[in-house]
Amino acid sequence: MPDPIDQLFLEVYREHAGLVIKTAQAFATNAADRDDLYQEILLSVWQALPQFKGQAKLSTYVYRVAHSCALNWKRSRQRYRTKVDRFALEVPDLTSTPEERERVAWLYARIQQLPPVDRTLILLYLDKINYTDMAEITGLSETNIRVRLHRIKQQLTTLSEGMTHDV
Amino acid sequence: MTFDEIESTWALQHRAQAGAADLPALRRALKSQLNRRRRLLVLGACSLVFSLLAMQVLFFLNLRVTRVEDQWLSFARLMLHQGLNLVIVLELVRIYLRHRRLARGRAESVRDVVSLSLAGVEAEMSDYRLGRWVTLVLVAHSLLSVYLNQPVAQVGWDAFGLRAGLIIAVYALIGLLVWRQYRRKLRPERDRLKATLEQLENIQA
Repeated sequence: MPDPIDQLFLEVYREHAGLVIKTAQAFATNAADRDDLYQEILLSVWQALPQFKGQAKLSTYVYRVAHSCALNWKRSRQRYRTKVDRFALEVPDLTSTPEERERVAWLYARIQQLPPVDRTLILLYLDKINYTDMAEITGLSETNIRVRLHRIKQQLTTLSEGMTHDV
Repeated sequence: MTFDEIESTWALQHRAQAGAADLPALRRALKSQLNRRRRLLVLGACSLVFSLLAMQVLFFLNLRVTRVEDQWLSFARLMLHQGLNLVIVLELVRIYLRHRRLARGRAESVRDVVSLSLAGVEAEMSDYRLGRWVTLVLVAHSLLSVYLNQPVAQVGWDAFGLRAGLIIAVYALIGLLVWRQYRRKLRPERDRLKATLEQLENIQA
């Protein structure tokens, strides 16, 4: 009989791997750190799944675990990471062409200039998460989230000034 | 670049299928990683229990061999040793409970998890500060043991001084390493988590 946690994890990965990948990319600045954080988030999600009782949507639950993990994540020492605690797990690419990759990488570089909590909020916003779920994920009130997002959007637009791509 | 353009750039990511990875291989990798971490934790806990037991055995053997004329001194030494052991055991229990609280709170809201982590780091820092005093007691205990095991009247001040110097040097080195960990790891970590938590506070209108 298949393990229910295994089944749930597979469902999470099939449906919500994108959010784990995006979180890792927004919080880590280089490829090795990105792989490291990706691994940490997947492990945290796996470990948190037994506590999932279905009160919230699975996606909200995964967002909560992923962003908590990212905000608490510390860069591992290179030696520790390569010799002790690393398995061959690389962040999958979510883009299809080199041009798209370049544009998305540029956007991530701008997002990384924001403070960590603002990064969380803008990621949730760009992923079209509603304000009620955002409040549940972050612990902030909806009013606060609205006010902050208004400011973050302006800030991100300012950071993106000078960037002219054909969209 | 306008915010609409930012949103459309973000949307480019949805075209690719994230679930294309080899899921069974990923599951195996995660399971083996979790098992490895669990094994490391169990190994660490076993080593600590073994060290504590070994310390007790060595101490009692030592107590039997050493001829101390003053029984009260011997008793005081025994109490000091047991007191230190008790502090270490209590500290281990506290560390375990802290880890368990953090593991259980993994799925709370982001703000709750950050405050839990911050509380954990602050508790660890206070343990380190307490550790400074425990180290001083350990030094005193070791010096007392050396003094009782090889009385100055028999070995002379030079031999005693050499042993005492070695003990102090070893503990000073340990103390320096611990202080370095406190200053370079824990303090910045506490500041980082504090700043994150401040960002997660609701601003009153």
